[in-house]
Formats: sequence, structure tokens, C-alpha cells
Amino acid sequence: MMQLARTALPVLALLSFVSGTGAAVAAAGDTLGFDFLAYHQAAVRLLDGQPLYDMSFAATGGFGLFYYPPTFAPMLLPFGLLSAATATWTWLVVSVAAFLVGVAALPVSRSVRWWIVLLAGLSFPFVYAVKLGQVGPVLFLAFAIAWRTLDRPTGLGLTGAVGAAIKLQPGLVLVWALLTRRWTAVVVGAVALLVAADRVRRDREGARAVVAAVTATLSRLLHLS
Amino acid sequence: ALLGLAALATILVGPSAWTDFLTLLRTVSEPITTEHNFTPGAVAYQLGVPAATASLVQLVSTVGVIGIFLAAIRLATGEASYLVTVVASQLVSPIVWDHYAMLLLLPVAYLLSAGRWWAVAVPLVTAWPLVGVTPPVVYPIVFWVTLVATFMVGRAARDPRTNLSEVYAS
Repeated sequence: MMQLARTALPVLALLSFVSGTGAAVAAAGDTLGFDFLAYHQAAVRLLDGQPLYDMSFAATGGFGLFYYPPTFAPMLLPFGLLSAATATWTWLVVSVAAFLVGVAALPVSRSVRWWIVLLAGLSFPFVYAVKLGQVGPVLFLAFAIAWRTLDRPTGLGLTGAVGAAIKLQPGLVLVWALLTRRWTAVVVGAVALLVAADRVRRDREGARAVVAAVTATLSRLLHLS
Repeated sequence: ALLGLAALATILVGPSAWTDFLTLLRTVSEPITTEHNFTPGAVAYQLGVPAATASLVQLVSTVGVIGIFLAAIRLATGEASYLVTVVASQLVSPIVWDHYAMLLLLPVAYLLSAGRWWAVAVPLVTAWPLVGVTPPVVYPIVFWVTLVATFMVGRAARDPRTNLSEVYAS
């Protein structure tokens, strides 16, 4: 009986995961990537030389509101080079992959990992986060790697910094590292955040140069044909 | 040290992006009255509690979360106190959307590993087949239950006594 349950668990987990996320995405309609499109618009604004933030918002929950820290921008810029639809689907694939890699990274037994995959497929918060194109699955990956590398300062510091660069709240992990005297992790995390902050400045110019180069190459090719 | 680094980051990024960010946060922040917010205070407000009292509920919750965060660092295993931090990082936020609860799968994995199989109930009570049935108040409850359970299991794991009731009876 136990053997049967052990064999059935991965099958049930995959069924639950694929049907749960698949149904959420299939039923999404116009709300597919609702939150991601705010990130996409922010990246497009930045690439167009406009401010990162649209200051016209007065309340949360509306479409297009981007209120993440500027340090999240470098991670989003590549998506700004794609059309909204392509970027949304790419982001959804990245999100699901990030979650599954995160599950694989969890320092728990294989059967518990399968249980987490099974439960994720049933979990409304998970399938909803995927449908909206939220950052949750990416944060899950960062938190999972940090958990796995608790006693390896570089891994903990870097993943803590990635979390804090995306959203303010996960920065609490770096405070935790500080309070538990994981000094190296704190320094690595702080340096990584500084690099991310510096890239916000540089990437604006860099990404614009990439867009200009791609556009010039394409137009040259079109003229040649 | 962190404040110093934050100041350095501000200089590197350039002031405008950060000031825009803070202005935007200030503009859009009415957390207690924000619709679909699942913090304890906001859910209390949705249940008819006056805004001032709901703000107090939120304050008490935040102070409690910080207390457990600090207690876990002192009393629980490193693994458990880290996972308490993960849950706390969401619970101290003035805005908690329902999808933030997906991060509870991390402490759930920890609790399952520690043999607490009841933890499967944490994602199951917020399962998508129950949408429309699960009341909003369930969200702050599952956040809090997971926070406290992770702390208690982590504290017991650090204690030479193996029985949870023995640890908490003392």
C-alpha cells in the first residue's frame, strides 16, 4: 500500500500542478498577466527614456500600477524589448520554471517536494499568482535557495539581495542574517544590492543602445532584401 | 550598517527614482481600507470593525510578528527562524494580497518534513475549488498559524526534550 502511494504521488502531483495552473491560465482571458503588464509597461517606459514610475495612480489594485523598488528594473528590462503578449508568455514560463526549480532546491525529502508540487496545483494563491504574472514564484525560488544555503554566506547573501531588490519585504532576510551574525551574507547581500542599484543607472543607457543597434540592423536587413 | 548602505544605494541610483517610489507608496497607501487586502487589520475592517480599531488590530499583529521573529532567532533552530522570517516578511507588509500566501508553501514543506502532516491543510483551506467558500479571514489566520507553528516546531527541535507538550508545559 505504501509502495503504491509512493509511486502514485509524483503522478498525482504532476496532474494537480498541470491541471491547476493550466486551468487558471486557460480561464484567465483578458486578466492573463494582469500584474506583469505593469512591470512590462515600466520596462518600456524606461527604455523609452521616460520615468520608471507612473505617478498618476492614487490607489492600489488598478491596472498598470508599478510600485516595486527601482532595483527590480534591471531584471525587467529584457522583457521591455518584447511585445506585451510575447513578454507575458515568456514571464509565465519563467515563473513556472522558477517555482519548480525552487521546489527542487528545497532541503527536504523527495516525497515532501512532490507534496509541495501537488499542493501548489490546488493552491489558489499559487495558480492566481501565476495567472497574474506576479513575482511570487520568483521570490519562492530566491527564498528556497536561501533556505538551502543558510550556512553558505554567498548563496544566502545573493538570494537575500535578489529578494530585496524585487520587493522591500524580503529584505527582512538580510536583517535576519544580520541579527544571526551571518556577517559575510550581509556584506554579499549589501554589495549585490548596490550593484543592482548601480545597474538601474547604467541599464537605461545600455538597453537603449541595444534597442538602437537591433533596430538599425533590422532596418539595414530590410533595405538589403 | 544597513542604513549606511541604503544611503549609498540612493546616491548610486540617483534620487529621482527613489523619491518617485516613496511618493507613489505614500500616495497609494490606505492599507486598512484597501479592497482585497488580507492583513489582519484590513480583514477586521471588512468585517465591520471601525477603521481606527482595525488599525490597532494591524499594529498589534505587526508587533506580535516582530516579537515572534525575534524570539525565533533566539529560541528556534536556524532553519525555523529563517522560515519564520519568510512568513514575517509578508505579514508585516501593510498590503497582503491573497496570492502572497503561495510563499507559505515553504514553511509547509518544513512542517511536513518535521512530520506535521496537518500542515497540508494550510494550502488546502485556500484551494481554488474553495474560492467563494473560503472567507477572507482565513488568510490572516493561515499566515499566523504557519508562523506560530514554524516557531514552535523550530523551538522544540532545538530543545533536548522531544515532546512538544513537555517543552511548552515548562
